Amino acid sequence: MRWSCQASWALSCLIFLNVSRVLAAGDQVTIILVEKKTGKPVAAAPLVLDGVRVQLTDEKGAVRLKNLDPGRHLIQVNDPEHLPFSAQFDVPAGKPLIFALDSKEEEEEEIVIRAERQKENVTQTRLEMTEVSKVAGTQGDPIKIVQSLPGVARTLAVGGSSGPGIIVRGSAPEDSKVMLDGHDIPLLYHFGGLKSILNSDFLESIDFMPGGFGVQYGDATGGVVEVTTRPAAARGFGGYAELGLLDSGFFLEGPIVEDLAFKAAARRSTVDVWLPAVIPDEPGLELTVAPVYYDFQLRLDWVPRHESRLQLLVFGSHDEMKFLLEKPPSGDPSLRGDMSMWVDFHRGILKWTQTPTSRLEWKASLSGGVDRARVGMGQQIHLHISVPNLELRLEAGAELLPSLRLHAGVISGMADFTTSMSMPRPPKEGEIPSAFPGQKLLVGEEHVFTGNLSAFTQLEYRLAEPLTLNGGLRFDWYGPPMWKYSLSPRAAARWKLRPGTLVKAAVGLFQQSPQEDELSRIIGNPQLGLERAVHYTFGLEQELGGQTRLEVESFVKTLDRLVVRDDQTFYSNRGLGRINGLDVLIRRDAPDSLFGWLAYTLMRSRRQDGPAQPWRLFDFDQTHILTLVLGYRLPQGPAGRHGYRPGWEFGLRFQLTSGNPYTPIIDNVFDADYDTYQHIPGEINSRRLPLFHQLDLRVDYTWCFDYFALSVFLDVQNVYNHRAAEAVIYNYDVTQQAYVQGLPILPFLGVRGAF
Amino acid sequence: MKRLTTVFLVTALAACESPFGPPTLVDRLRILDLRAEPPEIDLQSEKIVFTSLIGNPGAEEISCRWAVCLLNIGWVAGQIDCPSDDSLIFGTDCQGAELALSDLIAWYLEHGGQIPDELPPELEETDIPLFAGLEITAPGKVRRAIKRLRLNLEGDEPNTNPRLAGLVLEDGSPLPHPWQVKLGATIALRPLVDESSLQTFTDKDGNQRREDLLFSWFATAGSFSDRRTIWGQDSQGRRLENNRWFVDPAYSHPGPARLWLVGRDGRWGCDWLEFQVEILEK
Repeated sequence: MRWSCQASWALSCLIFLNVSRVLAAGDQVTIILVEKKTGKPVAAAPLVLDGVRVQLTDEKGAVRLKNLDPGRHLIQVNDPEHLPFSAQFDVPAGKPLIFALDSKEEEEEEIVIRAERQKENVTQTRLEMTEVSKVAGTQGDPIKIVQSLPGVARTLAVGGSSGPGIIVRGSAPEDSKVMLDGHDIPLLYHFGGLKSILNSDFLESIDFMPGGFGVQYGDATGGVVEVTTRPAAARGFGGYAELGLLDSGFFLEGPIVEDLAFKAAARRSTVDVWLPAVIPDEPGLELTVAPVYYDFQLRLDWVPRHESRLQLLVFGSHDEMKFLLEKPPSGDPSLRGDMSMWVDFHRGILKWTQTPTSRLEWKASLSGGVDRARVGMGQQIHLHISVPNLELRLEAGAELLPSLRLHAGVISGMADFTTSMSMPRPPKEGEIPSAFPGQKLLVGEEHVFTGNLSAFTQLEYRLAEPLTLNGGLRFDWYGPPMWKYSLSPRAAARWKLRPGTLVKAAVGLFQQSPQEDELSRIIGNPQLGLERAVHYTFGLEQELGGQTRLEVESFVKTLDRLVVRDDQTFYSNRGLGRINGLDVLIRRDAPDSLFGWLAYTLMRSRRQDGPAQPWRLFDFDQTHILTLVLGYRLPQGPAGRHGYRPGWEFGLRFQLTSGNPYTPIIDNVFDADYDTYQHIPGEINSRRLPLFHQLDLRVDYTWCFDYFALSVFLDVQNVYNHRAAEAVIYNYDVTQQAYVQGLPILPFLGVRGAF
Repeated sequence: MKRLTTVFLVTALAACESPFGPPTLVDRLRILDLRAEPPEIDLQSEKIVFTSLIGNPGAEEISCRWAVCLLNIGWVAGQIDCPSDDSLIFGTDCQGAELALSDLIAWYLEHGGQIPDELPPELEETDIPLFAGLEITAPGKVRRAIKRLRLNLEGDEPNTNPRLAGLVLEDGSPLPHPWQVKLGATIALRPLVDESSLQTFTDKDGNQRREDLLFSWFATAGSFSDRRTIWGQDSQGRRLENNRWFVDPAYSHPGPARLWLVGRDGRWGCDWLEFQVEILEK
C-alpha cells in the first residue's frame, strides 16, 4: 500500500505541476476554433498548449483556459479533418481568441487539380490569389501580375500593346488568348490596361502558359492565360467595401439555402468625379463624359451532391469617354467634333461539373453574351460593332488505366457580327501610318453570321515511373467567311531525373484565324487563311529546397502564313516569323513569409513581311526582360473569423527591360492641302528606345476585430519617378526628336473594410 | 475590340501639344502653302496657275522645280518621289508656274492613265492620284511639298478659292500702320473673311453644308496660342477663329518680322495674307 500511496501522491503532484504550468495565476482565456472558409465552429478538436494537451473544444468550437500566465504562448491543433495549425499569441485582455483552420478536403482538391493541370501543359505557371493579391505596382489587381511573369514583354500602362493584351514570347498581343472558366473573353482590362475587369476576390487562380500548351486550347499561336473563378462559400457571410481615387466597389458572399451559395461584386470608377474639376476650361474643348468604367460579377454555386456542381457566372464590363473638340489641335487639323468611345460586354456562363468517380470527370458549359463597341472621331470617322455570341463546351477526363489518362472535348460556337464603319485602314504591326488627314476612308456596313466547331483528344501515358508522354490532336473548323479547317498535333514529355529534378520538352502546331478587321469585306480580305506557328520547348525544373525552385526553358517558334499588307487585296498570308529565347525563373512559394520570384527572359523576335522583304525586328521585341517580385508578410496574430490576419505586408516589384524597336523618320514632304507633313520612314524597327526600369512598392496594414477587419494600403508605382521613353515624336520637319514619356510616380491609396 | 481602345486613345493623344518649339515659328526655309487657280479643274479648263507661299527668313538663295506626279499615298507611310524622273516638270519660278491642261492630259495618258467619260459610282475623284509638287533646293537642304489636283468630272459647281479679307485686332479695330509691337507683348488677332466666297456644297452623305475655313498661323518671331483656328464659335459663343500672338523674347528679337495667315476651305481651296511687323525693344 505504501508504494501505491506514494506513487499516487507523486503522480498527483506531477499532474498538478504540469497542469499548473498551464493554469498559473492569471485571467480566464476563451479560445474559439472556426473553419476558415465557412466560419463554422470546429468541435471536438484536440488542443495542445505550450506542448501540453488540454481539453477538446466544445460544440461551439470553444475551450476555456483558466489562470493562464501573461505573456506569449503557443497553441497547436491537430484535428483529423483540418490541416495542422499552430500560432503564437499573447494573453488578451477580456476578449476571446479566434483561430481559423483550413479544411483538409479543400486542400486535397486543390492539390489534385493542380497536379492534373501540370500534367497537361509542359510550361505552366500558376498564381494563387492568396499569393499575389498584394503585389506592388498592381493597385490590388492580381491579373496585372501576369505582366511580370517570364516571357511577357512590358506594355504601355494604358492603351496596352497595339491593343490591350499580353505580349508573350515575342508574339503579337492578338495571338494570345485570355479565358475565363474555359471561355474566351474579349477584354481583360478597362481602357486598355488601367484596371482589370474582374474583381480579384472572384478569382481562385491564374494559369499562364507561354507556349507549348495542350490541345484543349486553340485559335492561338502565342500563349494562353486561363483565369479560374473561385466557388462561392456555402456557409457564412462575408464581404467588404472599398474606396479609392481610381474606383470604388464592394464584394459580398454567402449562402442562400443549404448547398446554394452566391458571391457578388461590382465596381465603378471614381475618376469622373474629380477629373472635370482639374481639367482647365479651354475654348473649344469640352469634356462631355469623363472617363468612366464599371464592372460587375455574380456567381451562384449549387452542390446537390458531393460529386456534382452547377455554377452560373454572370459578368460584364463597360468603358466610356466622350469629349467635344471644336478647335483643331496642333497635332492633327482633321480632329474636330465629338470624340467618343464606348466599349462593353456582358456574358453568362452556365457550367455543370460531374465527378462520379475519382477516375472520371466531365464538364459541360454554355457561354453566351453580347460584345459591343462604338467609336467616333469627328463627323467623318466612326466604327460600330455588335457581336452576340454563344459557345458550348463539353469535356471529359478519364483515367483509363493507372498509367493512361484521356482528356477529350468538343467546342461549338456561333457569333453574329454587325459592323458599320467609316475609317481609314488601321496600321498593322511594323507599319508607320501615313498622315491621318487625307487618308482614304473605307465606308460600309457588314453583317456576318459565323460558327466554329472544334474537337480535341489528348492521351497522357506514364511509360515508366519517371517518364510521362503526352500526345494530342486538335481539329478546328471555321465557318464564314473563311470556310477552313485545320489539324494541330502536339506532343510533350516529362522525365523526372531524380526527386526534385524534372526535364521536359514539347513540340506542337498551333493555328489561329485572322482578326475580324482583316477578314472584313470592307477593310480586309475574307479569303485569308489561318496563321500558323510551330513551338519547340525544352526545359528543366529543379527544386532548390526551402520552398524554392528553379525553372529554365528554351523556346523556338516558327511562324508562317502571317497576315501582312497587300497592295492588291488589302491583306494576304505571306508573312513569316522567327522567335527564339530562354526563360529563367527562380520562385519561392511561402505565402506566410517571404515569397516572390526573379524572372529573366533573353529573346529575339523577327518578322518578314512578304517574299523578298528583309527580316526585321518585331514591334515588341525586348531582348532582355528582368523582373523581381517580392512580398513579405509580418502578421501579428492569427486569422480572424473573417479570414484576415492583422499586421503588416510589404511588396516590391522591379522591372528592367530593353526598349522597344522603332522606325526612324528620315524625311518629310509638306502636304499643302492639310497643312501636315507626310513622313518618310527609314528602315523598319532599325532603332531602339532606351532601357526601361521601374520600381514599385506597396505596404498594407490590417486591423482585425472580432467580426470586422480594416485594411489600408499604399501602392506606389515608379517610386524613383523615372520617366521612361515610350515612343519617339518629331517636330514638323524632322530636325528634332523627343521621347513621349511614360507615367510619373503614381501613388494609389485604398481602404477596405471586410466582415 | 482590343484594338479599338488603343486606336481611340492614341488618336486622342494626337490632340496633345508638342514638346518642341512653336510649330508656327518660321525660323528657316519652309513651304507654307501651295495654291491652285482654279482649285478644281474640269476638262474645259485651259490651264492651272500655281502659286507658292514660302518662308525664307534667312533670304537663302533657292531654286525650284514644279512637277506633276502620280502618287499612291496610301495608309502606310512610304517613299514619296515628287518630282521624280517620270514627273512632268512645268516650271522653275519659285513664285509660281502655269500648267496647261493639254500638257497634263498628254502626260497622264502617256503614263498609263485613263479618263472615263463618266465617273463610275464606286470611283471617287480622289482615286485619280494626280499631284502637283514643288521642290525647293538651297545650299545643303531640300524642301518638298505636294498638292492634289482635284478633278471635277460630274459637272457640279466647281470649288473656288476662299477670300481672306484681312486681319484685325480682337476688338475689331484695324491693325496699326506701320504695325509695330514690343518685345514681350501679346496681341489678340481676328481674321476677316469674305463670307460670300464660302460656298455651300453637297457632301458625300447628300447633305448641304457650308464650307469650313481652317486658319494656319505663321510668323518669323514669337509664337501663337493655337497653331490652327477655325471659323465659327463654340457651344458657349466664344469665337474660335481668334488667336493670340505672343512676341516671346525666346523666339523674337527687335527688327522686321513677317506674319502669315493661311485659310483653307477643306476642299483644297486656299488663300493667304502676309503682314510686315516691326518688333521694338521692350
